[in-house]
Amino acid sequence: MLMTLSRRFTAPAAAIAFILTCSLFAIAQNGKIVFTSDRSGSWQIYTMNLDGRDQFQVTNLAPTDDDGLFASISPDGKQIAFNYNAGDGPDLFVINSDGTGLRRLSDDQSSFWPRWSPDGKRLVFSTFAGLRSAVIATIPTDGSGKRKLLTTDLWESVGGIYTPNGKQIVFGSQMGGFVSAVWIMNADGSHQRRLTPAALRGQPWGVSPDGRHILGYSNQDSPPALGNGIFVVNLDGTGRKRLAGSPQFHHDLYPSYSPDGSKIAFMSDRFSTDIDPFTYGTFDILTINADGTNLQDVAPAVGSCPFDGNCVTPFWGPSPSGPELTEASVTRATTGAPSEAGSTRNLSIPVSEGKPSDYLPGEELLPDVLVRGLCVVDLSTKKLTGGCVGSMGLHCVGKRDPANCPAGQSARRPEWLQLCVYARGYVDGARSCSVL
Amino acid sequence: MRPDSKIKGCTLQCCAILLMAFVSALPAHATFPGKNGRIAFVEGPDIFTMNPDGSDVRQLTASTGGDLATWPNWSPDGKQLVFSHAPAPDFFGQLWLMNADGSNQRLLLNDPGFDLEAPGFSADGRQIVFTRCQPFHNEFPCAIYRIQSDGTGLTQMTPFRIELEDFEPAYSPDGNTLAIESFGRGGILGALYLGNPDGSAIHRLTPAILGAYRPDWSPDGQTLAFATHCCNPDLASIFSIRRDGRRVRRITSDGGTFNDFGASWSPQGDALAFWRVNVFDGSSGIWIISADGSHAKLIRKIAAPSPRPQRLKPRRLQLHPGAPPIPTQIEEGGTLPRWGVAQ
Repeated sequence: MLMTLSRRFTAPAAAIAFILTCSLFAIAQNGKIVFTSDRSGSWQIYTMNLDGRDQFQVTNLAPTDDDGLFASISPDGKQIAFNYNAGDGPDLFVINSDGTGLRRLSDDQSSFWPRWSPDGKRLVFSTFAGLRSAVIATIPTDGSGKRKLLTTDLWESVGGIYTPNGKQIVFGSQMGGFVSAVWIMNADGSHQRRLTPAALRGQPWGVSPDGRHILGYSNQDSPPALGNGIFVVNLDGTGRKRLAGSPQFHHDLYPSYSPDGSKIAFMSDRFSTDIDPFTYGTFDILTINADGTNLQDVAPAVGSCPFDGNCVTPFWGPSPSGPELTEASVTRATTGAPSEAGSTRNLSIPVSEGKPSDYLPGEELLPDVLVRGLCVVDLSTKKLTGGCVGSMGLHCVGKRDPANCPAGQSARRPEWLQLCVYARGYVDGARSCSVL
Repeated sequence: MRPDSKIKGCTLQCCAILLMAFVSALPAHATFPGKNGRIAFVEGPDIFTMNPDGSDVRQLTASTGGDLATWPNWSPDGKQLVFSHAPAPDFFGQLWLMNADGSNQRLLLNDPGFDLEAPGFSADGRQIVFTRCQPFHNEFPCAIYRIQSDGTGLTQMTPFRIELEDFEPAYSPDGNTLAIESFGRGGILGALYLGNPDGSAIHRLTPAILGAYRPDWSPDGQTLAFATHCCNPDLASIFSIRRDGRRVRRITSDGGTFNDFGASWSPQGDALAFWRVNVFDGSSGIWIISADGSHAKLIRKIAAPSPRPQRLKPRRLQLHPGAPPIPTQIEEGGTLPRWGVAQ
């Protein structure tokens, strides 16, 4: 059980205008996994380390009914491309990995699943075109050019991925009358050819960093009762084999190679206890070695993912080549110095020390408790623009509802909470922390 | 919907059935040989017949209470019709028989929990082959069954599989071959399949790229007519193929306007009746066209197609980011022209 504390909070001597307290985050040297979750009540993009630590909420998107958020990390690790549907249909956006610099790349309400070219200059993505079908297209990431359509609108094609040399694009398609198959073409759309048999119903989702293997999942566009399994196949269509042998009726989806090619991250409901043979269960994020061995459930370190059921579409990005966020940059942010992003400033106010898990949303903080953290706030609107995420603490968690834990049971897993602290000292679980 | 000049004149190689949109799953059929008789069809909630020139329209059923009568199909001698009676509110079909004039309507099979569709007679008139569908965890798998025309001997011919919809079984006029359309079989979006009369040894007849559906045997048993979105995802056309898989021929042209479904050969094999929908103004009618694709002629305007609800079968995972529900689905209902043998 979460401890229920209600203690009087008095503001520190520094009469701060507002206090937004969340976990101190730093971009680790290791490449991040970007994923999406609605743990906050709306679908947002997060990053984390492989071990589930250092979770960071990248976006602060307006709530939407669309659970189709998908994000991929740029080759230099500094940017994230994603699709977001504000209501009329999905569009492409790019945001810096620290949550700043959000910009829109498309405005057609029909583009999704962006993936970066190796040089970072283009995105390959899927978009509805012509005869209402999804086709594979590319667009410059600097916003300088129009989209270029690469596949016919007579058939539906989705999920394009550049090969590491940038010369080819792997994609899934119904071309030829198949439910789904893996195809490959030159990056200009020429020389399209099918690599997998119809019965596999294959959908590619990654290409190994050495450019030798395509990673995908089976039973695309099929009822959940068929299950989904991860496979690899050579770029010429040979050598197809299944990895991580998914149990029947379970679903391994969206596999993503680690940047060094040694591991694969994917989402799976194979450990879900609430699954039945005909629906999707609760998804965790798992890893396996690239050869299919050493299956690991990284979800225990991912906090609420296995319990809110919404840690989905992992994508494993490379280590950023730029400087990592340091204590110094946090200090600078604390002072309110403008960041490079212009109107967005990183602000962090040390308040007190303690474990955020000692508090429930709406509770007051103890005056002697200092919680350190960082939020990204637009000073002009005094609203969060991203980067305010929960802090990690230990408490008992039950299936979907921590309150279901037996009395007296100790904490089993680290759990993430969504905390934002107002100047008045309230801890608010809501996403829309406003500045007082 | 709109015509797309880019794809006019495309060859079969470039054809596609993209999304299988607006597919009507109507009863497959063998037109049995004989002299051209009356055409049965569905308008509103009832079954009618008419002469091939559109004259002498007679109403055979009188549905009440929101019930529907649909899926008419002639016996080989033209004396009976088998049809599906779909009671409101769930419209799960029961199999019924009636005489050609609508008299002697009698229940053949009521199968609670299952939707019985697309019945058709065997060549000897003793068996009814049909599609049996069951709502199942947001899916609607369908398998082929048969039953004796006296209501005994219910037999399953193809398996229920969650990813599979076997539709529109039709015995060839010689009774030696079963034709079905199937969606999802072997990872193929849609195709015509042939098999033994007991449902064994089913193999694909049409190439996957055609997305063929709604087979109808010609009275000589050598050719099947079918519908395909091959050359325009929005507009289906009637094609034919020989039972050996050769000689794919176009019979109707969409003209950038028409959705053509449900071909039914004339018993003399000289023409086909089909349902044509103008996708721009929504009007529809039963047309007749010569077997060589010439002389298309409207014989009856349909004021109100069957109101039978559609059983939508989206094939797309809801997990798909950014993808709205794709109309990869099968629409039921329709006018279902069926050409019978003159008595």
